[in-house]
Amino acid sequence: MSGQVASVPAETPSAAPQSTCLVCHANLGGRLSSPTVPFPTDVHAERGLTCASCHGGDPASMDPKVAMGAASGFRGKPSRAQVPAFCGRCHSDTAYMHQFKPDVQTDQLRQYFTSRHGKLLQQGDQRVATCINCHSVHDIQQVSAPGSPVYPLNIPQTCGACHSNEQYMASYGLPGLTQEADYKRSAHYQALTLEGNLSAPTCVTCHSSHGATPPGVASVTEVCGTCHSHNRQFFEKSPHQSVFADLGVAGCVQCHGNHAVLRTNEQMLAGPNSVCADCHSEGDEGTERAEAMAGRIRQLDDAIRLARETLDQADRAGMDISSAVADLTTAHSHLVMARTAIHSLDIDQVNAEVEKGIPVAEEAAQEGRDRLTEVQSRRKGVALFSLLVLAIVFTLYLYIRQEEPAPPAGP
Amino acid sequence: MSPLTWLEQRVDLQPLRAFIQHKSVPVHRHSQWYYLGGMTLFLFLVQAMTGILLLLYYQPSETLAFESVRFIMTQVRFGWLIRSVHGWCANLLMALAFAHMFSTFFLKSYRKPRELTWLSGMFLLLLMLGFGFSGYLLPWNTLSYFATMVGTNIAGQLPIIGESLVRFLRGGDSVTSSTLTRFFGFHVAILPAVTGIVLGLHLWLIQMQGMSLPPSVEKEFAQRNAAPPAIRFFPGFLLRELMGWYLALGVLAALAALFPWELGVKADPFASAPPNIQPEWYFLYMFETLKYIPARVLGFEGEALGILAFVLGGLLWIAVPFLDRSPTQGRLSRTIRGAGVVVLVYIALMTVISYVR
Repeated sequence: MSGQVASVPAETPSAAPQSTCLVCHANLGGRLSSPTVPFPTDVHAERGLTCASCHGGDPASMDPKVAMGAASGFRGKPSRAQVPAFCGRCHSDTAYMHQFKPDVQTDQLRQYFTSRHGKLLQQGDQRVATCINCHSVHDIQQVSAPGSPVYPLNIPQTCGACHSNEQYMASYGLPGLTQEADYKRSAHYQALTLEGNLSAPTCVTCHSSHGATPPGVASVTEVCGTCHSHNRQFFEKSPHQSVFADLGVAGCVQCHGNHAVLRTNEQMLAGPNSVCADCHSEGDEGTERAEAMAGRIRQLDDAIRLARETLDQADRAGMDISSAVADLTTAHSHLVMARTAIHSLDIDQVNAEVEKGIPVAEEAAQEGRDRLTEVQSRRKGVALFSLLVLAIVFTLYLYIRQEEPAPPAGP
Repeated sequence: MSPLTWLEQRVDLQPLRAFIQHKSVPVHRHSQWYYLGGMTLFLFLVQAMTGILLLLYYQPSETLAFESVRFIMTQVRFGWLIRSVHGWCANLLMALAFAHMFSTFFLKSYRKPRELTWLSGMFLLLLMLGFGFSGYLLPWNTLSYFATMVGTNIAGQLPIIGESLVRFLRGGDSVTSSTLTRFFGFHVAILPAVTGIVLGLHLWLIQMQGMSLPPSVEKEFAQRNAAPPAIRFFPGFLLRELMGWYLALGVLAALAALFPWELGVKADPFASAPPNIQPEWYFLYMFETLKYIPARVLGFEGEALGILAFVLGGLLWIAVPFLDRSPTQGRLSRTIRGAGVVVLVYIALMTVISYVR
C-alpha cells in the first residue's frame, strides 16, 4: 500500500446521473441494497457523481455482466486496506477537486499515511480508522454539515467511538481511555458546546485529523501555542522552559493537563489547589512569586467585578452604560494578559498589566456611580415636578370650585 | 392699544367670541367620559412636540438610526426624557384612544347626527395604530426589527393584496434600510399630514354638533320636559380638562424618569430572532388570536382567515352608526351593546393571556 494515487479519474460529474446500479441494488435486499437508501443524499450524489464514479463499471447497462465486468472498469468494493487510496483517487487530484471547490485540501491521503492510523494500516492492521470510519460511507456529508460525524460538535464522539472503547483498544496498550470523558470536562468543550464556538479546539485541533498523531513532549508547547500564542511566548522565555525540558515533562500539560484542560483562575497559583505546589514547597521563591502574582491579579479581578456590579445596577435603573461596558472590556483584556503573563514567572510583567487595567476598571466603576447619581437626580426632579403639578391641579380645583362651580348633576 | 384691540380692528372676532360664550357642556352622571377625547388630544400634542424634538437628532438609516437614538438618550441634554416621554406617551395615547372609542360606543354617541364624528374618530384610531406600528421600527433595535418582520408577515397573509401590501410596507422582500426610511416617511410626514386633516374635521364636527347626551339621560330629561344642566365650555370645562392634562403630564414625567424607555440591542438582520417576539400591547389581542387558529380551516389557510375576520369585524365596528338604526331602544340596539361588551372583554382577555403566557 502506498500513498500514490492510482489514476486520475476520467469521469466528470454529470448533471443528471443515470445509474442502473441503484435500480438493481435497490431490489437485492440486505447488505447489497443498503447503500441505495442513503446515497441520494450523499454529498457525492448531490454533486452529480454516481456509484460508478467510485466503483467503476457501466452504469448504463442493465446486464450485470457488462455493468460489473472488468471490461467496463469495474473496481468493486475496496478492502479496508484499499479504502484510503480508493477515496484518494479523486480527493488527491487537485485539478479534479478544483471543479467543486477552488481552495479544497487535497493532501489528506499523504497526511493519512503519516498518522498512527495510516502507519498501522500499512503494517497490516485492518482495525485502524480509515476514511469511512470518520466520514461514514454512502451517506457522507460536508464537514460543515451539522449531521456530519466530523462536524466540530460531533468529533469527540466520532473519535471516542473507538478511543473510549476499552475492548476495541485493548490490543494497542494505550495509557487510559478516558480522553473523551476528560475532554468533555474541559474549558475547550465548554466553549464548543455551551458558548457555541465552533472554532474551539476538538481532538483534531491538537492531534490533526488525517495525520492524527499524539504530540510528543517537545511539541506540546507548539500545539497549545498555536492558539495560546502569548502564553507560549511567555513560557519559552521563562525559567520553566529549560527546567521542564531537563525533566522531560510536557510544558503546558504539566500544569493544565491534556484532555481535561479546566478553566483557569488564580487558585491555580496560590492556595490549596495550587498546581505550583506540585513542585514547589511552601515558602520557597517560586511559591512566594506565585502568591504575589495571584494577589495582584485578584486586585484587578476585584476592581472589574466591582465596576461590573455598579454598571449592572445602573443598567437595571434604565441608564445607558454601553461606553463604560466597552471600557470594561479593555480592563478585562488586561486581566487576561496579566493571567497570561504569569507564564513568564516575571511579576513585573504581571504588574504592568494590572496597573493598566485597574484605572480603566475604576473609571468604569466611577461612570456607573455617576449614572446612579443621575438616577437619583432624575427621581428628585420627578418628585419636584410632581409636587408642582399637584399644586397647579389643586389651585385649579380651588379656582373652579369658587369661580366655575358645576350645577347639580342631572340624572 | 392692546394686541387684542389691534387684532379686532382688522379681524371680526365677534362670531368667535359669541361661539365661545355660548358653548356649553351638559352635566350628568356620565359627564366624566367627555374628558377622554380632550385628554387624547393633549397626549397627541405631546407626541407631536416630543417627536419634533427627536427629529432634530434622529437619523433614519440602517447604520445610524440606532446610534442616533443612543446619542439622544446619552448625550443630548434631556434627550432621555424626551424619548422616554415619547415612548410612554404613545402607549398612554393608545390606551386613552381605545377608552374614548369604547365610551363613545357604549354611550351611543355615534347616533344621528354624529355618524361622521364616529367615522372620523375611527379613522383617527387607525392612524394612531399606524403611528405606533411605524414608530416602533425607528430605533432599529432587535425587538423592533423582528416585531416589524412578524407584523408585516401577518399583513402578507391577506388574500389577493397580501403580497403587494408587504412589498409596499417593506419596500422590498424583507425588512431592510428601505423599510426604515419608508416607515420614517409614514411616521413623520404622511401620517401627521393625514391626521391633521382628519383631526381638524373631527374637532370641527364636535364643535358644530356639541356634546352628545346618552340616550338614557336624554330620555329622562325629555320626560321632565327640561334641558340638562350645563357648564360653560370656557372656562369651566376647559379648566377641568386642564386638571386632567396636568395630571397626565405628571404621570408621563414620572414614568419617563422612573422607567426610561429601553434602547435595546441594535438590530442584526443576520441574527436569529429572539424568543417571544411580540408586537406592541395594542396589537397583542390580534397576534394572540392568530396563534390559536389551526393552520388549515375548512381547506383555507387559518391565519389568512383570522386576518380576514379581523378586517370584517373592524369594518362592522366602523359601520355601527349605520347598523344601529334605533339606538335608543329595541332588540338590535341591545344586541349591538352586548357585542361591544364581548369585544371589550375579548380584547382585554387576549391581551392579558398574551402577557401571562
